[in-house]
Amino acid sequence: MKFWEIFWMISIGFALVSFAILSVKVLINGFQEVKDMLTTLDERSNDSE
Amino acid sequence: MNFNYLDLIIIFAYVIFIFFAGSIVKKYVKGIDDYLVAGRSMGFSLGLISLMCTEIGMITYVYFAELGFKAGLASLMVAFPFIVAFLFLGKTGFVIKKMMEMKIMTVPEFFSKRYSKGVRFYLGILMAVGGILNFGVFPGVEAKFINIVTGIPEEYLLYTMVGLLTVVLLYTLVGGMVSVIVTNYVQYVLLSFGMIVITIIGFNAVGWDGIVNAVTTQMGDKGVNPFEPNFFEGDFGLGFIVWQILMQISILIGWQAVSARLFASKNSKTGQRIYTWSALMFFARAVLPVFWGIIAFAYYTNLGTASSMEGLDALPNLVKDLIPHGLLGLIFAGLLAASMSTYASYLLSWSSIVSQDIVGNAIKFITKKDLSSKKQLQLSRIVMAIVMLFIIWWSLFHKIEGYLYFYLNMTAMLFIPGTLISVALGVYWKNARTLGAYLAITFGAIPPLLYLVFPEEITKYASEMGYGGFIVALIGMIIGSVIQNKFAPNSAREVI
Repeated sequence: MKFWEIFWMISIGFALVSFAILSVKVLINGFQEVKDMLTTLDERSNDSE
Repeated sequence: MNFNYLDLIIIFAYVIFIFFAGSIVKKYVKGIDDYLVAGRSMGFSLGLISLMCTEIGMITYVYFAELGFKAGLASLMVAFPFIVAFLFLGKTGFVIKKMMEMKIMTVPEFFSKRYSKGVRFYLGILMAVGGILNFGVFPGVEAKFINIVTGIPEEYLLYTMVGLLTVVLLYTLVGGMVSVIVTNYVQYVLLSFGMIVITIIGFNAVGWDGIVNAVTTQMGDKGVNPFEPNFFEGDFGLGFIVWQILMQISILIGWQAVSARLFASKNSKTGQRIYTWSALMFFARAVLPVFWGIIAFAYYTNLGTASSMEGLDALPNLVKDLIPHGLLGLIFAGLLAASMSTYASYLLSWSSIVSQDIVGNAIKFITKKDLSSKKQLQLSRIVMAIVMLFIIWWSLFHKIEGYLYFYLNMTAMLFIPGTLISVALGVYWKNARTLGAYLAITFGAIPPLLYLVFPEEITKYASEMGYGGFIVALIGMIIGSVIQNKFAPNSAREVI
């Protein structure tokens, strides 16, 4: 029983910490990607006009 | 009303902001490519965010929390197959690499290229039935969530559902993939923040010892050890794990709302990288809500009300009781927005399968003429309206036996085993034939159909029905292909 309690505690901790770190990372990089995507689409629509 | 003015201001401001942002971004959409796949310009981080936002709605939290509330810590096992499935596909590119190289946009498209148009039509029917039955419980569960958190009386459930779907319809009309991706980014800020905040506040309210105590005293060993009474017979034992790994692999290949995100990425390398890193994200997407359900169980056990509470009501009650005002508005806005993107995506996916793959093809077959694009658009709108009416009716009158998570899995299982077996063998086995695909799809649908028709008798055999679907689908594919190769060896065969 003790094994499973420790196992679940580690799993939950791991999920929470990795989710928080990865979320911050993709949000920081994602901001630049949004800007790049809109610039690309804007340039493409200007070219077609 | 459980909300104060601050909560309401935050929610309204957020919804208006999302619509405003969506309509501003809409000006960048110049063609169908931009509308559907954002001009194939989606990078890694946005791909990951978009995938998470599509696959997280209120209902995701509710069904995972129900598992935790009813089955305790042992149910956390549900999160591990996600890691295995995502890493397997991300690292090996199994099937998906080939499909992306073929520039496939939808799974049914693969079926008409590799097998026949008849198989595509047949699969389309099962996909539509499974998808709509799956989608059919969303409004009821989510409207109930909204009613409990906001304090709207239960008799107004229908009005909440209609209100929710109206907002979603408006959102879908504003839509297009570019605005969905941009609004997803904003939604993900709140979504990730909310998930972390609920976990920390909930954990602080009961503590680890409180959780273990409540689970072990009320559920016994079964609440902690997934392999109780043994490795094979536990509710979350070997059978469950095998079923879930196969199921998640199939969903990543054949679930339109998910694979559409894969096909929208820049190239197959980006697509595989999105899947690899999604392993961690989807692990947390399951672990954290299951944990909230367990927290709710411990919290209401301490208050003496856990036994009279329904599993599906645990999470909304916990959010209502533990999250302070201000934060409640912020988290609720995030949940609402998450549901909106899920609805928009699902409504478009399932309606397009009905209008294009089934009705459109049937009309074409009868009249021998292609529908004009104006007629296609009319047809899509009519189908969308019918789907919406159906899901409201289904939500009001269908009673779910057993776990909601299993019900949702089984509706997907109506087409998922046949899809995985036919796609995988279609790619890697040159002898796979059309008759094999027909039999794989048919055989694979039988176990989930039994589960859905006789829920009371079969609920406890969910895992057996689950992996059994894949085994019989494989048998169907082999038998059908062998027969066709033996008796009609010269009929048309395309090998990829």
